[in-house]
Amino acid sequence: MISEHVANIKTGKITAEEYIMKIIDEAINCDEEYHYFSAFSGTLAIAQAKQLDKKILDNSFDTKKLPLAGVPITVKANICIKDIETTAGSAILKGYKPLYNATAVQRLIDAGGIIIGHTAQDEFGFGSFGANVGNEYPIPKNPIDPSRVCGGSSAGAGGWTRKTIHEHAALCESTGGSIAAPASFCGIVGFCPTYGRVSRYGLIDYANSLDKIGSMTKITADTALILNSIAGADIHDSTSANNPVPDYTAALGKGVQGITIGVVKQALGEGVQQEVANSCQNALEQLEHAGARLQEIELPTTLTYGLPAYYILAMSEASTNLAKYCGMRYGIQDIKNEHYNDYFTRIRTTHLGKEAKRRILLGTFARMAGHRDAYYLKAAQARTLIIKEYQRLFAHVNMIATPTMPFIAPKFKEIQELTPLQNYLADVFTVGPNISGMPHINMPVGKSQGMPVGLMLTANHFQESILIQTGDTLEHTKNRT
Amino acid sequence: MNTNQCITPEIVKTVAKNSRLKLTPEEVRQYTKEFEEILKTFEILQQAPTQGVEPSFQPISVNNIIRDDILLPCLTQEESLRNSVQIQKFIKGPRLQ
Repeated sequence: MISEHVANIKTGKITAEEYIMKIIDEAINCDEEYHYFSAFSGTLAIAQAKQLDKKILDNSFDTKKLPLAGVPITVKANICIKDIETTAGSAILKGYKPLYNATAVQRLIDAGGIIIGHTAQDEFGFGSFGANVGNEYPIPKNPIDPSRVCGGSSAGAGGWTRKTIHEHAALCESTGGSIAAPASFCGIVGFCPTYGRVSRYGLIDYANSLDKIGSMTKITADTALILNSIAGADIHDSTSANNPVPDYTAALGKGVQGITIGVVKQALGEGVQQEVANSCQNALEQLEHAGARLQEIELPTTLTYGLPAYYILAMSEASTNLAKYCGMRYGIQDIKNEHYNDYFTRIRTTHLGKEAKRRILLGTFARMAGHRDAYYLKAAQARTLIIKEYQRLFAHVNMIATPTMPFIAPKFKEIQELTPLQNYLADVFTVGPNISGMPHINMPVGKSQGMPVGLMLTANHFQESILIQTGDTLEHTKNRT
Repeated sequence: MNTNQCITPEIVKTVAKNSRLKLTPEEVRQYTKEFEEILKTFEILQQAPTQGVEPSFQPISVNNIIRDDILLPCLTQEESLRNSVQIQKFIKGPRLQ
């Protein structure tokens, strides 16, 4: 539990330096087999830890400040850490060292968090399984069964959060399910806030209208602490929201009496592994036993149009965002002997991975003259319908429950046989809250074949507290499997 | 509005050229097949009842944030070039031809 660790650091029971050295050792050793990291920031972390220890020793320290004092933090590879190579998992960004910290990173540092490195991911976030890493990057392996995937795109964050024996929190990002999916496959708490709740400044964009920075932690109480530090408006991000930031830890220990959970019947039926559906149903019954009311609901618009609308919007935005990676402005460079267009083409063709190319091509196609109205505009209109469907339901229920993923973490050999379309269909439940910008949480709720099963709870815009309240209750329910 | 158009190798090649990507003949063949399958599945979107529906380009309403027009500190030239691979005391752009 992070709060206990912070108390131990603040009272001098343990030193931050010693703890950070231990976790970095663990991370380096673990990385050899599991491939969770794309960069380490050991020198920076130890300097930060030493500074913190000195403050504590000198008593030059306001104990109310630094709510994350000495907490080891990892950062997904698409979120900038000053002077640390930040590649978003792509070979085309090799060598790129940002000159500044992302706002979320800076806020964690300001709260006393200690940044130990970048976690591995699908290239630019393009994947549901964590296997679409950029050229020459190793693929992260599931911490429970290394023959299986971690889930994507925040694969390293998910695997490492589950694997480490130390206190830790992962800063990560979701576009269409990149926090919830790996959290489900690795059996941890994955939290994605409302679009705009956390500044995107310093995030290497996949799709601007969909990207959200969130967290992965071992327990919900840790999520509340992290969100307290990173949420809030930012002058550097015009899409960050001005809504007041509550104390999310106030939601802990409140129980679920009087809360109504909408259960999407269709999401517990055909197309979902039986044991996944059973585990989710059991968890919901535990919440009912704890005082929540369950109400069957339907989500027809979201489940019918969510996937195509999401992928069209995401790929269209990605195709423009990735245009700037051309071997001149950021990352990889080479000797230019040809016309600049030929140089850009050579660099992009050599260093972008297969899935990145696929999404750039599809996105460019969807934005081409004659296609824009049929694809991009239609998808943006469908997003309006989906948001309205959620808003209508939230007039009657506080939350909506579905499985996070329809199956447990697949084996690598199983995903090799999937077509790109079959890959995309895995996101059927996660794209809804993501396209509509709704906050959502993955809670581990059971096991199937020894692998974790995740329940996803989605709330209305800026209702993060109720998700934390419910996740915390679920963790304290006696019959938890 | 046209979603019935077949994906042909020529379309894939044109899109690739616009995207500054060079594809092998095998890649053209593979992407053509994949795109046809993907777009055919996404056809269902055309059935969405969107007549008169405003598009949502963001999931929440976003207002412009305007700050006072006052000078704030920014990176110096030295700082901005600190992590560059090729430090030549200027920012390099494409040659005009």
